[in-house]
Amino acid sequence: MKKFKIVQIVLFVLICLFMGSFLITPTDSKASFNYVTKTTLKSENMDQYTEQNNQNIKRFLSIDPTAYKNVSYYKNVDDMKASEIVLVQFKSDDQAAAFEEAMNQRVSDQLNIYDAYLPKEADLCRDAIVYTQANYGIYVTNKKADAIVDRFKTSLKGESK
Amino acid sequence: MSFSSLIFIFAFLPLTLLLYHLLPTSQIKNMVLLFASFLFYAWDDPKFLILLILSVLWNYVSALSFNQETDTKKRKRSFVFGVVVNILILGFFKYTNFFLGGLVHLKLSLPIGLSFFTFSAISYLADVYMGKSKAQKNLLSVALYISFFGKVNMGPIVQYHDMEEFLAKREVTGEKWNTGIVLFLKGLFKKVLIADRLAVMFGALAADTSVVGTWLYAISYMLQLYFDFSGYSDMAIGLSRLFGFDFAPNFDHPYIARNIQDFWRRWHISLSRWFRDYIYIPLGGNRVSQTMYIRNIMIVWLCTGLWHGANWTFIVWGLYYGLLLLLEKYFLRDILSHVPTAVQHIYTLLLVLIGWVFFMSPNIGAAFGVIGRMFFIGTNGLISSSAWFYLKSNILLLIVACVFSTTFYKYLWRMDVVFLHKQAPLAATIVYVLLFVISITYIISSTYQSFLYFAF
Repeated sequence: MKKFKIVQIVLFVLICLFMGSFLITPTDSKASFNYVTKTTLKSENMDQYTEQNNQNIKRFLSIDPTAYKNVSYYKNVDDMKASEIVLVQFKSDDQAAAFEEAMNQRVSDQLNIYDAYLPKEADLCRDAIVYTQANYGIYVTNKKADAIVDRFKTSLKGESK
Repeated sequence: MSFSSLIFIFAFLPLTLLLYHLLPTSQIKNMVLLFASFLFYAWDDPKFLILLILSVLWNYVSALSFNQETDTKKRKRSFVFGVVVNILILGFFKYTNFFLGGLVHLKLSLPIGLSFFTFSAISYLADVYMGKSKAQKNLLSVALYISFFGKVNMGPIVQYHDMEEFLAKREVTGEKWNTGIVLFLKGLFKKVLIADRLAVMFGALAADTSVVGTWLYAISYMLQLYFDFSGYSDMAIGLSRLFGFDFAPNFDHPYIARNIQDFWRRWHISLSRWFRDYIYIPLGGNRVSQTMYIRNIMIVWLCTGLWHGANWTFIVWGLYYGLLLLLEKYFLRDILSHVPTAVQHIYTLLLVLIGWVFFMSPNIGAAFGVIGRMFFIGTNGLISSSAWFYLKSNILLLIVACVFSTTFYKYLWRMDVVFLHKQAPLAATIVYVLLFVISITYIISSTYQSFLYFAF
């Protein structure tokens, strides 16, 4: 019976450690917004995108750009294309949840638009990525979304000295 | 991985079946099934496989531990501890942010199927504790019971004592094979050909504020949820038969119910049974004073609501059903028994529809907004042009969905068995193959929607 108790204690500790690992949150990135933006987008052909102004950020993304430290929104010049990229630096980490919610809503709205007429674009929307880490967030609808987000994560580690 | 994904239908399932049926002993077959189940579970997010394995080990050891206790108090304490750790895991991932109330928002993603496999695990502990089953010495059997890919993601929540005998030995008869395939296909058709079409209509009408548009919005969700979840359950039960298991149906035409109690005997039967057997009856069931009975009902329905999600809408949805069941028991039963059957159906469908509005809404305010618009409050007219468009273009789909949510399919199945299978088996096969090809076409054309109950 004692051996079961010991195994139970070991398992309980492992379960707690597993759950605890979700409580470890990354610290704020010290990288500048300019550096993060440049690094994230460096392999992307930005000619096909237009950087949107605050009015369009409000209109398309339903977020208030003045509430954030920095926001950049790049939208494909062709309205028949779904690809777009949003980079954001939060004023405080608790803005992350609202940002994720707004971006997920954007994906859902875009999906509704493209679903019936442009299945390839709808597929892009389905594979869209919304990711936040401490004081930064990104939303990407792009066929190379994974690579862009990987570069974003790398950029948060900061400029190499 | 989802049952209605191409990789599952054309690679995972056929390969697992092939391997399973080629291998000789039940122990090796179980090993293959367990490996396949772990692969299935880890497909989308491998990190949560660790949690599933820890859960399996925890419950295996816990049952053996309290089963060896001779002292009743210590045994109970050990059992309660086993259950509490399961609830702790569920609570941590599912309810932490809800209970923190927005003070801090932790980045916790819900492991897929957590609510389902945790309830299976608790069923195992409870069955051993209550003496319904013996503590399993074979780790493989406990692991397969909790993780079997036929039920790990979205149920049905098969109770351990119902699955126990199949874990040791099972047989795949010709009858099981045939009914399994047909049930799997039936589920696929329900999901792809009906639920996913209704999902498009539901999504399109989300912003419609006319009376008819709001009714269509709510009705399309009501039908979508049924065809989505019952379709998944049919697929789960069907494919389980291909591996020799025999699970009870999870749905029994809930929308033909004549009252709320009847509805809950037909909707998500495995979850209702779980709450009845492991919460309601241990609390005393109905063999207690009236006050305690009311308390028991409200506890069960509060838990049912909470089980579905960490949101006030689910809590209200659960309590709403608790109150309706009490109202029926104490006031409405006699009245309902004296009104025509059609009125009983309308009464049930209307109340269930209102319930689904709470269930589908992001918050209570939005739910009341939808209910208000259904009854001419806060609308912008009787019918909008988009509502009229979606009504016209989906009328056939709505009729098909309504017809197939009755016992019409059972009738068709009898006709099929009696007439087609005997007189023209080739014709029956062609019908199924044709529907299968259409379903696959829909999946390939990317109009597939993920299963709604994955969210729970």
